[in-house]
Amino acid sequence: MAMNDVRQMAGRSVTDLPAPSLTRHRKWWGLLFVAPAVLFFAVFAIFPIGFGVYLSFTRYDLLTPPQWIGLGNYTGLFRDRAFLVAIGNTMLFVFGATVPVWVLSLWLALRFDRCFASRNIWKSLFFSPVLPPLVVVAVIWKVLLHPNGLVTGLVGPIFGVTEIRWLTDPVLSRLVMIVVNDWTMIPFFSMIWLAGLAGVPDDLRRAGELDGASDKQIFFLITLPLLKPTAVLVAALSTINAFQAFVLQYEMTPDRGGPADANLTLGLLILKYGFQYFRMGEAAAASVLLFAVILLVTAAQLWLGRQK
Amino acid sequence: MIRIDLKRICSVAVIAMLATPALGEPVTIAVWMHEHPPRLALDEKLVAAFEQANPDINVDLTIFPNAQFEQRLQIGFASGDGPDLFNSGSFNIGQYRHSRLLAPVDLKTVGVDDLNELKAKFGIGIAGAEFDGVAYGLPTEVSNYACVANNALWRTAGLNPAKDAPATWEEMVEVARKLTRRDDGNVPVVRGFDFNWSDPIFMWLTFNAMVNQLGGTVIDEAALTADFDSVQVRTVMDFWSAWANDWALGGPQYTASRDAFLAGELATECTFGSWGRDQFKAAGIDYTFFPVPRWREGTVDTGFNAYAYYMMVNANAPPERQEAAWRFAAFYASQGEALFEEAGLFTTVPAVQELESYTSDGSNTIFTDELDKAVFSPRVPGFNELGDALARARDRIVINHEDASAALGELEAEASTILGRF
Repeated sequence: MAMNDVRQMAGRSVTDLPAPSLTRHRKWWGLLFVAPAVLFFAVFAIFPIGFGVYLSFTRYDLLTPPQWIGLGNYTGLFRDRAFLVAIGNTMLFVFGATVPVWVLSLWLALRFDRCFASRNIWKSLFFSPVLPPLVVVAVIWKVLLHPNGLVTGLVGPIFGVTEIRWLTDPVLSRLVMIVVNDWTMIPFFSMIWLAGLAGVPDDLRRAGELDGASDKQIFFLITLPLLKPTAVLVAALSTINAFQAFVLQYEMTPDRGGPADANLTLGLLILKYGFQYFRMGEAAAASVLLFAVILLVTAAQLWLGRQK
Repeated sequence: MIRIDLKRICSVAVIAMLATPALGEPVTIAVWMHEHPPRLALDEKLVAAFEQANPDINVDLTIFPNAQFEQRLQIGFASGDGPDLFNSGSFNIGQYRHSRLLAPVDLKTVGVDDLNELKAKFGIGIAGAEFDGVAYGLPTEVSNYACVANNALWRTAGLNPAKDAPATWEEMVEVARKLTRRDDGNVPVVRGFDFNWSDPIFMWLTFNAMVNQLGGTVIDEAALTADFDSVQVRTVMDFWSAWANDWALGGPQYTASRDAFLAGELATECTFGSWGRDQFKAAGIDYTFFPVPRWREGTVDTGFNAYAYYMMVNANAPPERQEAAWRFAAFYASQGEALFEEAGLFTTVPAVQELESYTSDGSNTIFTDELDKAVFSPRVPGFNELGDALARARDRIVINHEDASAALGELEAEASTILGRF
C-alpha cells in the first residue's frame, strides 16, 4: 500500500512530511549503523588501493623507504620484456577463458533447462568441478598431466606416443591452462545461465512454437535477447576472473610461469616483482595497469550490454 | 627571576621514565627463524639456556613456515615491525646488504678481536657472509651437496656405487645409461641420474657450479657485471640440453629429481646435503654418498656451490638491541655440536668434526672435503631475478630448441640490465 494511502487513511495530508530534525536524527542513526562496514571497507580496500597507487610512483624494495620517481615505473614497464610477455600471455588466456566459457556454459545450461531422466544427478556431477578450491584442482591436474600419466595413457595411443609433455611444452602448456580453467568455470557459469533461463517466460517460447518458429529461431529471437543481462554478467565475470589468472599457472607450470615464461601472467609477474625481485614499485604499477584494463573492459561490456 | 614550572618538569620526568627502560630491565630482542622441524625443540632449549645465562636479555623467538619466511621477513621490514635478529640464507644476503639492512658483526660482543679470529671460531662458513673483509652474519647451517646413489637400483643394473661412481660428467653419461630403465616407448621409467630442473635456485647451485668447474664465472660480485655468453656457459648448457634431448636421460618434464629419488624412480641424485639422511631412511632407501663429478677437462676442482644460513642483525634496530642480538647470535651459532646431533644441521664450528657421531659416519668427510673446495653462489642484489633469467634461457634452449648463442646473448643483456639497477 502506498505511503500516501496510509497517511490519508490516518487522516493526515500527503504534504505532511517528517520534521527536519527527525530526518536528520534518522540520518545520523543510519550513518552510525553503516559506519562499521564503511570503516572496514575503507581500511581494507580503499586505503590499500590508494597506498598501492602511491607506491606505483616510487622506487621501493620493501627494505628501504619508498623514493618518489614519478612515472618512471610505468615507462619502465613498457620497456620490460617480462611485462610485455605477461601482457601477451594474459590476453591469450583471457580469450581462451572467456569466449569458450561463454558459449559452452550457455550450451550446457540449455541442455539442463530441459527435462530428462536423472537430470539432477547429472547436474550435480557436472557442477562438481566448481566445489574444490582451485589450488586443489591444480594439484590434481598436475598429477593427471604427468608426461606418462593418466591423460597421456588415454590420449597417447591415438597418436602412437607414450609420453606427452603437457606442462613443459610451450604450446601445450598454454592450452592446458585454458582447458583446466574452462573445465572449472563452465559449470559455474552454466548455473548463472540457468538462473537467467528461469526468468524467461515460457509463454513466449510457446507462442513462438505456435507461430511455427524453429528451435533455432526461438533461441536467437526470443530466448537470447531476454538473456542479455545474464549474458553481460557472464561476460564481465569471466573476463575479470581471466585477467586475474594466477593459481593454475603458479601451481602447475615449471618455474612458476614457465616453460620459458610461456605461462607468465600479469598476476604471477606482480608476485615476482613484489616479493622475489624486490621491485615493489613496479609491482604496484603493474597492479594499477591491470586494474585499469579490467575496469575499462568491464565498463565497455556493460555499456555494450545497455545498447539496444 | 626564574620561574620554575614544577608541574611541567614533573610531567616531563614521568614521560621520560615511562619511555626509557628502567635500569635493570631486560632488553627484549625479536628473533625470526624459518621452520625446520628437527631443530624446533633445540631452539626452545637454546633460548631458555641463553636467557638463564643472560638475565638482562629476553629472546622473543618466532618461527615461520618455510615457504612464507622470506616474504614475512620483507613485509616485517617494510612495516617497521621487522625482527632485531633473523636467520636467513645466503641467497638474499646480497640484496639485504645492498639495502643497508645488515649490521656488521660486532666482533667485540661476539668475543673476537678480528675477522681471522671470527673465522677460526666459526669456520669457513663465515665466507658466505663476508664482503670486503667485513662479516655480516654468523652461520647456523652450512650446506653443500654430494651425489647419492640408491644402492638397490645400482645393484639391479649390476653397478656398485663404491666402485663405479662416476668421477667426471662424461662418465656420468655412461653410468646413467646403464642405470636407466625404459618402457616400450623408450620413455625412462627409472632415470639413472637427472639434474634438478625444478627451481631457478638450482641454476645457481648446480649449473653455475659446473661453469665454475670449467674456470668460468658468470657474475663478478664486486663489479656487478655478468658474463653468460662464454665458452664455459655454452659447454654446460649444451650438456644439459643433450642430457634431455639427445641422450633422453631426463629433462624438465619429469618428476623433480629429489621427489623422484625418494620415490625410487631416480637412481642417483646430486642436490641433497647431509641433511638428506633422515629422508632417505624414512623412504626406506639404502644409499651411498659420493662426490659431485667434475669435467674431464675442467680446470677448477670444486663441487656444487655451497650455501648457508646466517644469524643477521637488523641495522635499523636500536643499539642496545643490536648488541643483545649479537650476544644471542654468537651463543646460538657456537652450538654446532647440538645443531649437528639434535637437528642434523652441519656447521663449520671446528668441534663438530671431532664428534663421535660425526667421525663414525665416513660419508661426512665427503661433505667437509667438498666444502673446503666449494664456493658460494653469487651474493648479489637481484639474485632471484637473475636466477629466473638463467632458468628461462635454459628452457628456451632445452625445451624450445632456440639457438643457444642468441638465447645466451639475450640472457647476458638482461642480466646486465638487472645488475645495472644497483
